[in-house]
Amino acid sequence: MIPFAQLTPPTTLWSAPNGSTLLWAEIIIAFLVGTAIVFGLAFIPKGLRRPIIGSATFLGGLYFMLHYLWPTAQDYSKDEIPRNSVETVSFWLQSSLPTVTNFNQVLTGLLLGLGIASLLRVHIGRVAKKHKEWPYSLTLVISMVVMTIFGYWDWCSKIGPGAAKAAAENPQIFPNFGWNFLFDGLFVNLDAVMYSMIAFFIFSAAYRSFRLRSAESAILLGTAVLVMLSLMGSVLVGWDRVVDMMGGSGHGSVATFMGNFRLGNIKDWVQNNFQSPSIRAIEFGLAIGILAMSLRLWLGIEKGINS
Amino acid sequence: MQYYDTGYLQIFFVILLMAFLLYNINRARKGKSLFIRRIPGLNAIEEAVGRSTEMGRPVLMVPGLSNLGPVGIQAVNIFAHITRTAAKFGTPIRLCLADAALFSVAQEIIRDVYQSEGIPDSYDPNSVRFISDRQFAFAAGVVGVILREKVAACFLMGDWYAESLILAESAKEVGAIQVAASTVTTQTPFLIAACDYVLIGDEFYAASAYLSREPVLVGSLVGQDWSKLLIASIIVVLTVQASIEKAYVPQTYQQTQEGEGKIWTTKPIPPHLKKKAELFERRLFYAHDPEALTPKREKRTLQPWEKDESGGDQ
Repeated sequence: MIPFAQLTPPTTLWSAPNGSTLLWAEIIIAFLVGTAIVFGLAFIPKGLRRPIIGSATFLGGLYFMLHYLWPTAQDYSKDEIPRNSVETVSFWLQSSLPTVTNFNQVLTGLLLGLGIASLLRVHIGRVAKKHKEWPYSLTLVISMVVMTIFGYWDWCSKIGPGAAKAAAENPQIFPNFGWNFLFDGLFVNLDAVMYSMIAFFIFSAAYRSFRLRSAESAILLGTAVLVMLSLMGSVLVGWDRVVDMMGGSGHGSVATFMGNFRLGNIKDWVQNNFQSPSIRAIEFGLAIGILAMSLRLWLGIEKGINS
Repeated sequence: MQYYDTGYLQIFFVILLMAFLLYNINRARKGKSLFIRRIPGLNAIEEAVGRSTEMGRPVLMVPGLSNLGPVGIQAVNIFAHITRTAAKFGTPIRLCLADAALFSVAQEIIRDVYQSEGIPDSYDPNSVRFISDRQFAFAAGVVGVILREKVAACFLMGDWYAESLILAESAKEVGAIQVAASTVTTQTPFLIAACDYVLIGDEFYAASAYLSREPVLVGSLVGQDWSKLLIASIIVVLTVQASIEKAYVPQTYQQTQEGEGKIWTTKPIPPHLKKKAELFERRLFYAHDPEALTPKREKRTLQPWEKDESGGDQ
């Protein structure tokens, strides 16, 4: 049996039983219909394109808006009958989500194909023209092909009844080993290398920004030093001891007042009274910005800068 | 009936904000003159592109890890404006993307820019590139473009995560002028430290209105400002109200439920000052526990294909 047909959920209106002729027929029909729609959109008059795309966008947006805003029935179970119209809509919204998500995944898959085509066009072109740094491009293309082959091979070896268990018990077979070597042995480590470089970049960026050039940078420097010191255990203990000595023993007003200058308290005050409110204010602005942008896109009134 | 608390107050509030936006868009469409303050980061676009032209090096634009959503579209909108400026001077551009869907849209938009400028032949299909959808593979790819092509201007606008500083510092190394904007607040400080100009918070969304002065966008921006004013006012009013209520208003009753499925009743209790959970604004935003299911739903027989959700891959 062909693997990707096995993975298709055997459940909905949009699919047929696994590996059946009907499933293949549906796949072919869906592909032809999809291709026809794409070409159809390319050939229809420009004036009609906008309303069609706008309507599809509106319907898609409406679905997800309802999904978030419509009262969601608790304890939803698909073997239950809704008790009223509110629950009927809620049940439909909940049960149709996987299908709608599948549409999204199919579209993303198609577009990923376009992305890969772009990548290959750039790098194969470089290799063909013997561009100055063509060996890097060749490495990229080979890596991509090898990773795809081993990824698919490994996946095929793990599907089917009992295959996942067998692969887990006997992982020495070539595709599993190859995939593990490429992904866990190479890719994950290279990823970690890129991530670890951030430490050095933070250092150089911090060095530049903490230089005393203006009143603002002085405040930034002072605050940053206080917060950094508060994270160093020995400095924290030493600082607090000095503050406690200055405040004297007992629970008098001087001791209480000096308690405000313990390093941990200063750090908390800075974080709770300056950092958090500032970040929240920025996030309010961003949330409203995203709401405005989404509303314009949803209603089809978004005007790009160049329109 | 028992439903998750979807917060009807929140829904009403979102609808109110939407009404602000639509009302102001309508106002702007009718020709009302609306003010937008100066945004230095956006004024720097021409300076940065001009510098690239003088140096004969490309302009790099990166929307971070943005996908095909409001952030990605907004970033590509700004990049389209930058591309238009670059196209006028004949400056080469590079647009690197991490999302295949956004890549397809960006390709079309950038091609349209060259066509509308009357120089479709100047469009280089390789100037808009899909790099990788893996975070650090993407970062490595873009750093490669920065260092190999020695870009003179770098626009980093969109959803940024840990890769932001890798790119910003690499661009600094080659002496590129940088304008950045992040919708992820944790990355904004990094960009401020490393870049020449940074659009903070919703300045990123204000950019298209600022650059185009299109009535729909300007009206929407004013609607956003109204919304922010409303939120700020609510915060101030409720803070004062909560402080007064907590300090002076005693609690004299309590809602109780005599067991599962029974209705909630209000009973008097000895007066005491309210706890945090009893404050007015807390109850306003967090409704009390939902009532139990009455009556139970009836069962139906599942169809054979509805029983297996796992698919046939095991």
